Parts: sequence; C-alpha cells; structure tokens
Amino acid sequence: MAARPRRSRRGVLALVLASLVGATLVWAFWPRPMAVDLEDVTVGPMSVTIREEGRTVVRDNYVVSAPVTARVSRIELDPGDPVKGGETVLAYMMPADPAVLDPRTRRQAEAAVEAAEAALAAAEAEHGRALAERTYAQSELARMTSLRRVEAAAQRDLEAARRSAEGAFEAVAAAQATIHAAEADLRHARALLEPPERMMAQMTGNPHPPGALPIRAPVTGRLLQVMHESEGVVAAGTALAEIGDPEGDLEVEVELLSSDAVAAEPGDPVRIEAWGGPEPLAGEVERIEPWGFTKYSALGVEEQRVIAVIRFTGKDAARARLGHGYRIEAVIEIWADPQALRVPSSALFRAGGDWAVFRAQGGRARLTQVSVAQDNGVVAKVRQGLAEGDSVVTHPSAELRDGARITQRKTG
Amino acid sequence: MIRLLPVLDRKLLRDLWRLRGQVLAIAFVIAAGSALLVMSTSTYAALDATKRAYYERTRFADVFAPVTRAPVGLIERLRRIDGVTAAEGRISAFGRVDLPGAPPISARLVSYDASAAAPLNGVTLSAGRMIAPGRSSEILLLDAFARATGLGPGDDITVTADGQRETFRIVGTAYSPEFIFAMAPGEFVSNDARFAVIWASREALEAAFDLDGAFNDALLTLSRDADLLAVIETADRLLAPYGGAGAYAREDQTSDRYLTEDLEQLRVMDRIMTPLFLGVSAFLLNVVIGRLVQTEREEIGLLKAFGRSGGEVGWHYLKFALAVAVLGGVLGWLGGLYLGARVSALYSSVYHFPFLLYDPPVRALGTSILAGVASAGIAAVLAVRAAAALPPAIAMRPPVPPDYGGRGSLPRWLDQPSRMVARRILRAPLKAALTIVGIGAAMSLTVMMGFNAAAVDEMVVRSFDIADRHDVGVTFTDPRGRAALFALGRIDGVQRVEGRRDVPVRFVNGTSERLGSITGLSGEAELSRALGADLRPLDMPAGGLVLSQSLARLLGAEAGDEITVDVRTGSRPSIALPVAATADALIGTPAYMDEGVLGRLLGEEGRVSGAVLMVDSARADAVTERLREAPIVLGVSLQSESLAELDRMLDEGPGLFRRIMMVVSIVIAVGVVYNSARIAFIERARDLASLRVLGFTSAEAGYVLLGELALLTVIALPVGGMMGVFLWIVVAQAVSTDLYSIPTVFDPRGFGVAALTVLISSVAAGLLVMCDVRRLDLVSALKVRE
Repeated sequence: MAARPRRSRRGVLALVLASLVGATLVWAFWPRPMAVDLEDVTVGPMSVTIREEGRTVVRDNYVVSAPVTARVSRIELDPGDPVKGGETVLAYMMPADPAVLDPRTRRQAEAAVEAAEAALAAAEAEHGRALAERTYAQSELARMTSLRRVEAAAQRDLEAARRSAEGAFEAVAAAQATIHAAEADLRHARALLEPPERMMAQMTGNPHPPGALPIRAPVTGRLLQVMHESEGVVAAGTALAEIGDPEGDLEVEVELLSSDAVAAEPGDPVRIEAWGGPEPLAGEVERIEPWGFTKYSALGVEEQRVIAVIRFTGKDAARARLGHGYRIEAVIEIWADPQALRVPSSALFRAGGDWAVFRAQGGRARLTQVSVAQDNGVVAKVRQGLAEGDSVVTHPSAELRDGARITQRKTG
Repeated sequence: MIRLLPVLDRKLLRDLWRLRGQVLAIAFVIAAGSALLVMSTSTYAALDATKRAYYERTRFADVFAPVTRAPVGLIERLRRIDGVTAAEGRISAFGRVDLPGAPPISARLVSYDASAAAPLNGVTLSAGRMIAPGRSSEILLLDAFARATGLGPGDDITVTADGQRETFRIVGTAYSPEFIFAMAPGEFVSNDARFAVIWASREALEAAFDLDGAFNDALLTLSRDADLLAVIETADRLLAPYGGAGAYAREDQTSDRYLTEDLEQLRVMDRIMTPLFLGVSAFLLNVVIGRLVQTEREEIGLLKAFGRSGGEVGWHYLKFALAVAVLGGVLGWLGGLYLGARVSALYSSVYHFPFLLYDPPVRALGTSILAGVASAGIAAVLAVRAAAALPPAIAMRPPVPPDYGGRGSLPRWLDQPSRMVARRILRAPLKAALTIVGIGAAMSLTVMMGFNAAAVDEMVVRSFDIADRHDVGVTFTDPRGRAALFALGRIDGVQRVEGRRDVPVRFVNGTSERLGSITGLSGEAELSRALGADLRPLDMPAGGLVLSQSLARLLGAEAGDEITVDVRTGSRPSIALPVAATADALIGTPAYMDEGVLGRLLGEEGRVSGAVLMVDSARADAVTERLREAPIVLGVSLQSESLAELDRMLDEGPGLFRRIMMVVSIVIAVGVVYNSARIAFIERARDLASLRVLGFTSAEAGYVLLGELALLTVIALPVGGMMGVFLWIVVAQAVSTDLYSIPTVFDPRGFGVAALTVLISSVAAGLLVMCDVRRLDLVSALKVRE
C-alpha cells in the first residue's frame, strides 16, 4: 500500500531536517583557524650594527692662553665668529697693574721716598764739595807747575799736586754719578707710591691701548669657545679662547663598550643619526683607540669603554650646522651581507634549545628548525632550514602548535 | 488531614502532583532567575558593606596629597582646613627588592607610625607583630606578597632605594585598605609576587630618602559634609610651593578604583543580567502557565457548572500558579543563598578582606518569591479570566477544532501526518511564533554567555598577541636618556629594545576628571603598540592624543574634542591637547602620544621611563640577572607571568560568575523546552487520542506532535542565535570595567553550545512525551463531559 512510500517520505523529511541541524552544528563547532601574522622569508641586504651615543669633536682645536701674567683686554669676538690665522686679534695684553699698598707698606714707601730725597740732597752736597776740591786742586797744580818750571818746588810736590787734581776730577765724576744714583733711587721710591689708576686709564675701553701687545689667532677657523671674556689680569697659562675649524675638521667620538670595540674595525661604514638634520650623515670608522677606561653605563653598572673616532665621509655642506660637542647617535655597521636570506627575528623562538619557526604550509603551521647566522633584532640571516619565499608566523602565540590551522590576520 | 481541606484545595494538591514534572520544570526556571537575583544582590551588598566597614575601621584616607618635600609643620595647617577631621604626613617612595633567582621586584615603601593612637590607613596584622618604636630596621610586609614569595616574620629582606641598599628585618605581615589591589607602576595586572609593599618606621625612611623633619605624602580624612573639591583645592594651594603633584580623592587611588570597578561590575551583572534572566523566565512562564490553564478548560467549566463563581475558580488557579511560584522562589532563594555565600567568600579572599559582613538576605526571599509570583500570577489570571468567561456548557465541551480549510493546499508529496503538522503551523502562525520566540529567548541567554566567554578569550589574545608582544618590560627609577636603551640592547640575550615614556597626568574634560598616564610611542614601535578599531597599529598623530575607547568614554570625549592634560611630574605644565583618535585598547585605560611630541611638550626630549624587550628565551635567566644588577631598574615585568595572572584573575571572580550564569541559562533553556513539549501534549491529548482511534499507530500520532515540535525547535535555533547576538551587543559594553573592556565579538561556538543544549533537551523532552503518547488512555482522553 501507500504506507511504505509515505513512511520513507517521512523518513526523508526527518533526514533533511536532521542534516540541516547537523550542518549548522558542524559549522558552529568546526575548529577555526588561528589568526596569525605572516611574513615572507626574503633575500636582501642585512647588517648588524652597534648603536651608541657619541658627540662631535673638532679634530684639532687650539687653545689660546696668556703667555705671561698680564692684563688682557676684553675679548669682543663671539663664539662662532670666523678668525684668520696670524691676523685676527683676539685681545690685547698689557703689563699688569702694580700692587695696591696697605698702610704700613705705604708708610714704608713714603719713608723710602724721604730717604731717597735725603740721599739726593747729600749727593748734591757731596758734588758741590767735590767741585770745590777740584777747583782747589786745579789751582794748586797750576802753581806747582809754574814753581817746578823755576825749580822752586820738588818733582815730588808737583806729582802730588797732579795726583790731587786728578783725584779731584774723579771725585766730581763720582759725585755726579752718586747724584744720578740718588735720583734713580728717588724715582724708584716714588714709583712705589704711584697710583695704579693712571696705568689702568690708559687701557680701559681703548681698543688699541698704546704699548699693548696683540694676541692673534694662531690658525684660521672659527672661535669655538671664549673662556675668559672680560678684561682683567690673568695668570700665565690661563686659557682665553679655543679656536678650531668645525666645518672642515669635524669628526665624531663614540665611547664603545670594549667588547664592541673589538668587533668594530677601522673602515666600517657608519651612519650618523639623531643629529638634528633631515638625513642621516655618512661616515666611517677612522681609528679605535687602544686605551680602555672605566665608566658607569647608562644602567648604572661599571663598564670598560674605548673611544672610537669616526670620520665624516659625505659632503661637507650637508653637516654645515654641526658644531663641536653636539650629541649624535652613531650606527656602526660591523657586519653586512647584501644577499642574505632573511627571516623576521620575531618569528624565531626556542624549541628544545635550538631556534625554530612556524612555517605556513597548506594552511597549517609547521614547526621548522632553523639555524641562524646573524640576528640584528629585526631580521636574522638563515643558515639553513628555510628557503626564499617561505611564509613564517611572526610573534607566534604561546598556544600555536605544530600542525594547527592558521589564517592570515586581516590587519596590519 | 487532607480530608479537612476544602475540596478545591485537595484538587489543587492532586493537580500539582499530576503535573509534577512540569511544576518542577517551571519552578526551576523561576528558581534559576531568582537564585541569580539573590546571589548577585547579596554578594554585592556583602562586599560593599564589608568594604565600607573595612575602610572605616582602618581610617582609610579620603584625600591623598603627594608632594616633593614639605616640612612636618605643614600638617597642622592641613588639619585646619575646613572639613578635615584628621591629617597625617608620611613618607612614601618606590624602591626595589631583590630576591635570589627572581627578576627585580618593585616595592612601595611607606612610613608607618606604629605608636600613634589612630593612624590613618591603618594596617591589620596577619602574622607576627607590629614594628616596635625606635627600631628602624623592622618592617611590615604586605601579606599577599609575603604569601606569594614565602617570606615571613623573622626573615631579612634587602631593599634598594634612592641608590642605597638597606637590609630590613620582617617582623610581621599585614593587610591595608590602601593595597587591596597592589600593582607595580606601569602594570595593569596585579601580580602578588612582583610587587611588594613595605611599612617601615619613619626614622628609617627619613634617613634613606633625606627627608628629616619632612614628609612627601599627606593623608586627610574628611567629615561627612565636607566639600571635597574645596578641600582638594585648598590642599593644592598649601602644598604647591613644596612641589605638590596635585591632591586626589580616594576614588582615584589605585586600589580603591579597581575595587570599586570590580564591585561595580557585580552590580552591573546584577542590574542587567538579573532582570534579563528574570524577564526571559517571566515571559516564558507567562506563555507556559497560560497554556496550562487553558488545557484546564473542561475542569473550569465543570467547576462553574457545579456552582463555583468565576472568582472562586480564578482564585483556585491563581493558587496553583502561586504554589509553583512560591516553590520556585524558595528554591531560588536557597540556591542564591548558597551561591551568594560562596561567591562572597571567594571575592573576599581575593580582596584579602580581614573579615566579611555577609547578611543572609532575608528580604531577598520576599523579592525572589515576588518575582516568581509576578511572572506566574499575571499569566494565570489572564488565562483564567478567558476560560472562566465561557458559559459552563460550552467550556465543558471540547474546544471547537480549528478550521483547517481555506486557501491553498499542501504539496501532494507530503504524507498525511506531515501535512497535519504543516497545516497546524500554517493555520495558527501566532501560536507557532510564540513557541519559536519562547525557545529562542531561552536559547539566547545561553548564546550570550557563550559569546561572553569567547570575547574574554579574544580580549586576552588581542592584548597579548597583537598589541603588546614583548617578553619583558623594564621600568626605570627616573626618566633616562636613550643611552639606557642602547645599554639594554647590549645585554646578551636581548634581541630587540623599544623605549617607552610613561607620564602620569590628570585628564580633564569639562567636569570629568581622571588620573591616568600618557604613553609616548615611537613610529617604529613593533613590540608594544596602540591598535585602531580594525586592529591595525595606529600611527601616532603629530601633536594629538590617542585615547583608548574606555578612557574616552569615561571622560566623555570624542575624536576632535580638546581636553586639558595636567602633567604631574617635572615642571607640571598644564596643556590643552586635541583628541586625534581612539584606540582599541582592551586592558587598562591607556592614552598614547607620539613620543617626540610628548618629550617636547614636557621640555624633556629623548627621555624614556622604561623599555620593552624581545628576549631569547634560552637566555632569559641571564637577562634577568643583568637587569638585577642595574641600579636604575626599578622593576621588571614578564609578559608570560602577566598573562597567567590575568587568566587567573579573570577566571576567579568574574569567571565563577559567568559559569553560574551559564548554568542558569541552560536550566532555563531546558525548562522551557521541556514545558513546551509537555504542554503541547496536554493540549493535543484529545486530537492524539482521536488519531489513535482512527487507526494511526502511536508512532504516527507521536510524529504529528513531535514533528511540529521538532520543526519549531529547528526554526527557533537561528532565531535564538540572532536574539543572542542582539543581547550580547547590548550587554558587552555594560560588563566592561576600568581594568578591561570586553570586545563585541561573536564566536560561533557559543551559538553551537546553546543550539546543542536546546537540541538535546528537545530530544529528551520528546522521548518523555513519546512515553506519554504511548500510555495515552484513549477512553478518558476522548470523553466529553456531559
């Protein structure tokens, strides 16, 4: 009868309904692939660098200092002004002022003046006496000479008269000399009392004080620093100004960790960044000093540092604005490979002590061991385990397992 | 004794017994909703009361005023501010604790005057003794930290602070209301083992931080009617010459803020979830009881024929509904009591409350019964009125069979029973729709809870796999130059370093204020970034702020608005900044800016307050060791630990809540499906008996009934799914807190679980009904009362 087909039709309906429900459940519970970020393994340039803070220095700078203790005039030039070697006058030197006297020394000096005046007076009196003696001796000689001619006096008396006359001449000369000496002593004593203002007045505000010695710039360049700007008396050796050539003579000094200093070599290319300009500057390592010294690192621990000197290699004009002692960041390239097989460092993780990545293959993540030659934090050079064009999972989640279904996350 | 009851009451008892399956099912549905109500209200009430009592008993300060250095004499002037009841000055600073084999641990050092009669922010001892006055080498340790690291009274601990290393002797462990949530600076998850709080004597800290005769943190308690804003303003003015960083109220204090947020979430669960659940159960009960009463048509007619008034009849059936409702209410109350006590105890231990004020919510019993009664009673009354309005003669007759004639005919290839099923549905679409909506509504609650669970997982994934992908985070004691980053990069095992600048600020937008911090990010940041709405890393705009969505919401700000930022360090400038964009940050309420712009605004360019590192896991221990040696490192956080902590935290309190609500939603779904099946059977008993008499087998008769149910259930599945989606959209925002926001994502598995639940319960109910169909007493079913 019709019962059989009806039941089977009922069965078919039930089946349809059940399969609809089943399909929905399957869709609901179907394991969804984990969303991950994928990046390709590429071939391209890669470098390992050392990045360190450094500063610019003028290679040869000249410190102009006072050769003697003297009064130096005000340095009117400002840092940055150009100077010409042998021509530009930096300042004028004048003898230093005499000392100011305290009351006791003043009284002593005044007494010395009085003594000198007295000595002068005595010398003049002595001179007068010597003149009188000479006059007498001269006339005595004339008398003796005429007496001898008539043999009225002995030869001996004539010679004695001659001796007195010559002695008297010399005595006058001596007295004159004593007067000169006494005058000089008086001047000497008076000089101690001379007020210094008169000397200073000759120099102050005078751009060309008479008798002043100019201090000229030793080389052509720019005034980098003025250490002693104002007019005043400076001791011998006091640094007055520093001159250098920041445009043509600038280089970079970087304090490298000693282990980094071993890795870097003269000739390594350097990129100078964070100097304030729009483009990084080019340079190369010129030399690495063999002297290590102790310094506290930025983290506060003791370290041994070595100075590395870096030379600019680009066009001078690009870094015209740099001066001496400006902060820069130097990126020294210690290793480079123009055709390295690169995998993003964020894809690497340790699996059983060795490096591994998750490679995307057929929609699943495959744990793949790799060996890495160099890693600079952004990419790593693969020695073996991956090929160009492979897709790897970056920043793999801790829940990702070998063989799990994955899909590219549709975000940045 | 039964004989003494009036007849109607005896009937009531018999009916209750006869329909015991359904009575229990309905009672459980009511119980589920009211248990939730009782649990959440009692838990919230208990925790809130405990928090208040705890704060009061320990004299937790109302205002906190950090300064750089102020003389102790200033405390007296602070005390004299109008509204201040007590003022205390103390020394508060950060330091570092080094334990063997562990990364550097941040520590907060706080001076505590053990000899004072009523110290503010009082500590409660949990072990050992209080520090003795005059002994400057004795300290108290935070109980949570002590337990997490195994330290205790009698142990020594070495602390590095302000460049000096000191060894202290732990004499006791303590709790404090100030450190219920204790987080290292820069972290958003509290990890008990990674942040220590140390209470030391004043002398010890004065010496360590060069603050003899001075304080750097003031605490104020206010009277009830004090003007908070005025007090803060006055305090700011008094403390400004001493480097005051801006006083703030208790609600901005880290621990209180997170605690209040957590409790607020309980309240939100209570305010939103409970009415939701109750509403759904009420709606469902309406339908169920209405239909149940309608099946009693004949009995109602009989009673009226016997002379009972419409009122008496109505009251009888109302009593039925009430009995079920009271049963459900009592069950719910008992369940809620138990759950409430357990959840409160759990939360209390998580917060380290030294005591718990849990009052058995007697009032809630009334509320829960009332809720059940309301839902059941209304339906009963309406249904009874309809039935009682009929004259007895008509009522006692079987209801007029619905007219299945009319337009169209069904496809010929469907067999007879299938056509019966289709006809019934098509001719009474309203009833079918009601059933579908009923089952869908019950299912939607389970769907929503499933989405909730998946969304929490997604939140963790987004934060730890997309936004912050570093392995180690380092915080410095002070902002440092970039040389510190290079130094970190040189540590063997560190693959990549990115610097961060975190600046503590106060955000002000009109009347909304919020303490927080701005994180300066560089354009090349890869390990830690801000994400946009599409999970793409955001480029920091030149000169503008990027606020996380949660923060923007709290401040009431949008992209394009301008808000004021008061910087709380350094020269403390106050800057107006435009909000350039909002970020999808799920954990915490961060704000971001371009680090160069931030540095310029602060006048401190190129400085970093910390760094994030990518570390070779094989050398992780060596890296940690090197970080321990560095004096400028204040604290170190390991992402793996933070993730574990977050998982644990989400699983404990909120997780338990979610699991309970999931069970409740399943109970409701099962109850509704079962009831629908049984009521359908009761309504159709006559029709089914007729079919049997006509020659159909019980299987075929059963098919007519169950086929309809199955079809309606299957249609209800997508309806339930859509309703669940809608519910989740509404609820997702509400359950987000200050600590984390839950994204509105939809996981098909949530729908799958709910669908399975409904299907399994349908199959079970169907089998039970099938038994009833087989046992159908044809004779009595077909009887017509005369």
